Amino acid sequence: MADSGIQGIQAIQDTQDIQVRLRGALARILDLTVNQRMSVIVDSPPGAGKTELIVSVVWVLALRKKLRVAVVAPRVSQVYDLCRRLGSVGPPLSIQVLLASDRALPTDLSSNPVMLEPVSRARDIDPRARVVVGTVSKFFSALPDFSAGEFELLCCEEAYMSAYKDLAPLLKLGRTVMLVGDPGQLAPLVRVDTGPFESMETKVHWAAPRQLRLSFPWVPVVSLPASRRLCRDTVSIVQPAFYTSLPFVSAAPDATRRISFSAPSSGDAIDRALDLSAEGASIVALLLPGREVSSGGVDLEVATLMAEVATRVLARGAEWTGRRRIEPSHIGVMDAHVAGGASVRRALRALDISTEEVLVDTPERFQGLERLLTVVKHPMSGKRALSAFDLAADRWCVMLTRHLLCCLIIGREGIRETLEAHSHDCGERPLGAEDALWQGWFTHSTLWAELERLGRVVRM
Amino acid sequence: MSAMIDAVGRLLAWQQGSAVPIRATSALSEDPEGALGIAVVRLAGEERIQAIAVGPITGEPTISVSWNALDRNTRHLDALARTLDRYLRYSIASGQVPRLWTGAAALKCLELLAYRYRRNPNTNGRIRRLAALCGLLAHEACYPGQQVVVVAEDLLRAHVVTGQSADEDQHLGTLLAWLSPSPGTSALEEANRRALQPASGLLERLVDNRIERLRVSAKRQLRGGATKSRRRIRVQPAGKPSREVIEDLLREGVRREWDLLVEARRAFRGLRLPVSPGTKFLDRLSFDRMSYELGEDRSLPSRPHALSRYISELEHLLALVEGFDVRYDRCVRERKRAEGRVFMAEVVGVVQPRPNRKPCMLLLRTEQEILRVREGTRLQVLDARVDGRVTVVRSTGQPGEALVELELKRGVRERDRPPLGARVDLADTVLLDTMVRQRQVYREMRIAPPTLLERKLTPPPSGADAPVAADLLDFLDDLRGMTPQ
Repeated sequence: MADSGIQGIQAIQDTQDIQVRLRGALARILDLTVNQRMSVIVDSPPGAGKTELIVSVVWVLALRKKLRVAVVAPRVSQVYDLCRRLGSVGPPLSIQVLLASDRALPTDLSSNPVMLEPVSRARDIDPRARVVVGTVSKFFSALPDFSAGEFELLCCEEAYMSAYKDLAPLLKLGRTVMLVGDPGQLAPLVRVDTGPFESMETKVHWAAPRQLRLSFPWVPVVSLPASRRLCRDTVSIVQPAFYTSLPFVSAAPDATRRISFSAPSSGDAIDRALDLSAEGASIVALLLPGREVSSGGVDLEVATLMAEVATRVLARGAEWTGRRRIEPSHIGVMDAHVAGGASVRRALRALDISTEEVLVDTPERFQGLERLLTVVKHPMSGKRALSAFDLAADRWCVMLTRHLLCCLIIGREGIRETLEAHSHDCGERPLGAEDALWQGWFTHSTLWAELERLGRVVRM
Repeated sequence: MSAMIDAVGRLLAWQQGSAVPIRATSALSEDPEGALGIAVVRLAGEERIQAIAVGPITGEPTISVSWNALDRNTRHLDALARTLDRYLRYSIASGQVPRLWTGAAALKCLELLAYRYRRNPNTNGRIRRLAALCGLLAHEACYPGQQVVVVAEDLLRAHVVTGQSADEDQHLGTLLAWLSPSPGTSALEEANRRALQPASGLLERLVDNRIERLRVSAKRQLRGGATKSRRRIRVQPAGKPSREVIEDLLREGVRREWDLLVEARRAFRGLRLPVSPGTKFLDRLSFDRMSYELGEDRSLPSRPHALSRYISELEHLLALVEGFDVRYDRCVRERKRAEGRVFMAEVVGVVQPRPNRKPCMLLLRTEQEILRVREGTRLQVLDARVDGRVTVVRSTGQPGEALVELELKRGVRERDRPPLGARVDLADTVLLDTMVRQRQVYREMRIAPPTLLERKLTPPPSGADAPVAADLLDFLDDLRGMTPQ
């Protein structure tokens, strides 16, 4: 009893210490961007409050210093989210969205008094607009109409998703630049073979912050020290595998990240996996017997199991302990293949679960989202030979970092064997290129070995 | 192409004993008059050309050989330099897109030749010009949908699958065995037989070894000839000097490569695929690029603005080609349907307050389960000039059925848009032509490269909060106290 009391006090002290460190990082970024007027790159682990950070810096510059700020993001959904957060402060802040002429603002945004009428051309921007928000591509196409240094600061959200070639031309817009992103997550999508460009001095297809560090080594890089979303257990598994150069801890007290079930366990494999999660295991794998499946990413048995797991979570009355009951809308299901996702949706509907509420999609769509509980398909499930797609570390990282409470990995046995049997093409990459396949293999192997070591693999 | 469709196609080809077409249209336009062919034999491991055949693909080639390709002599490239220069100039002057049939190995040799001689001051102007042209062709070959350089094995692989593995398909000889099987022999047997002979610009091992031996002998003769001119030159049993025997063997080798190229062309035309209408536009793009670049001697892009523009252009062309394929080729369309990028839907509602005017919303019902369609996706109605942006995708409650609301941006007139009850194919291949804007942006990037000012960095304070920022943190705390959480 005394021990648990001491541990509790220690946990509170740890949490307070982490909060102080997070606040220190924010202070440092404010000092650099606002006081010293310097450009800065912010490396952030998943769920560290990237958007919150941007909102803070923008508020200070726009409301306190009365300066103009531009904020860009790779996707329009991220732009809307930024506007919602920025606009929550109310007047006198005025925000204008640079938007394609065939798009309209969502009604919640258009009815907010801080939002000015969206415009599609830079020359139509209202002089009252203190903050201009838009996608990277929209700012890119409007760029010739802007003048250099038009904004005090150019902020980029999810900067690691933007290629240097797309973001670099925008740099001239701000007197200073702040790029905020997660270095472990999805790389920019460049649809052509980038091999020939890997040996170039400037890797224009790389994520913008990576290349900017090479081009401008004097730009300070601030790392956010903690994830607010991920619990300590998840961080202890994910950080060593995906973020070897970005140390971070969890800012979420363990007591606030517990899942519990009101209905008793039946003792079957699904319930055993759920019971493990209730005991504090935030990442658990549940495996079907091994079998090679080669039908374009569709494995009906795995899809059915994923749907059954989601159903069982609801049927057992899962609860975010002390907070709320888990509803279908709190569950996210991820499959790296669109066709695989479709089969999960069908399986969910067959079990009377609404796919309007349970979000089933690819990791690309889940980037930037979070759910209380996620069910993900292991990309190597049912595979005998591994492709670059299966080995990609960034996609797998997104899949394992969207949950607040628990992530259940569904797959087939044989993952370790497949990883061990994988033969790496050591010579098959352009001179100067990083070996992403090797990195992916290493990451997958490290993570899977850790799950097995921790006894997190439940077999059907 | 998905692994499953590829596997099924290969099984089918294996069962019927001949290649199976995977396209309904040809992605290559008709050959222009006088289309060239180039076949080479290279030095194993050195990528140096030791024999070359060049000429009209429908006629007899001019063959040049070098008995000792490792020396600095480039005389054997003269015929290529002359023919290529004349042909490209003639094509551009007469307003037709040039066409060059070749193989992957030969193209690689030409590309290396460009690197070796383009800026080499020790070679003559004709070879430097040849190198520039080779560089231009190698560069053109990288553009998606280009119509100038035809790499025979790539072209065939894009149009058919065979009953052998994808790796085996890289051998032009075995690939052709499935397209034009010999009478009385199965395609598999013929492919296995052909696999014993190299088809990548190399000689058979025994011939190559023999040439190596003869080359040593010929060099010795040459040295002997230079120092002891009276010594008799050693001759082969047939009475020929070693050098001539080497040249005969090389001629024979390059002739075999040429014949493969001609056979590949014949086999491709034998598929009798109608030419995709999209190639007309692609022809034009290729012609424009070639006519612009021919007069220049430009290096490959390497500076950030040029590289950025180049990659963006490649991405744009890739999207353009995909759009043409989905629109004009039913086989490609079906494959895209399996991926969820094309779907068939029934128009179940039209909301258009003012006839023939925007806004116009189409309500579409689809029974296709695999959909790559989300809110914000741009979709075009195939076989019509209608496109729009998806505003809502929702399930109907029926298994596998979804409703898609499409706000039309183009084709809102009643005569253009699909009527109620029509079943239409939609695809996400709407191409936004932003190239003009991109060129403008990257031109400005060249004039004013992106920069971030270097400033003297104040070291971080030892405490948790920077004192200078403490007031800003207080300001934020006050703001957050005001904002609803």
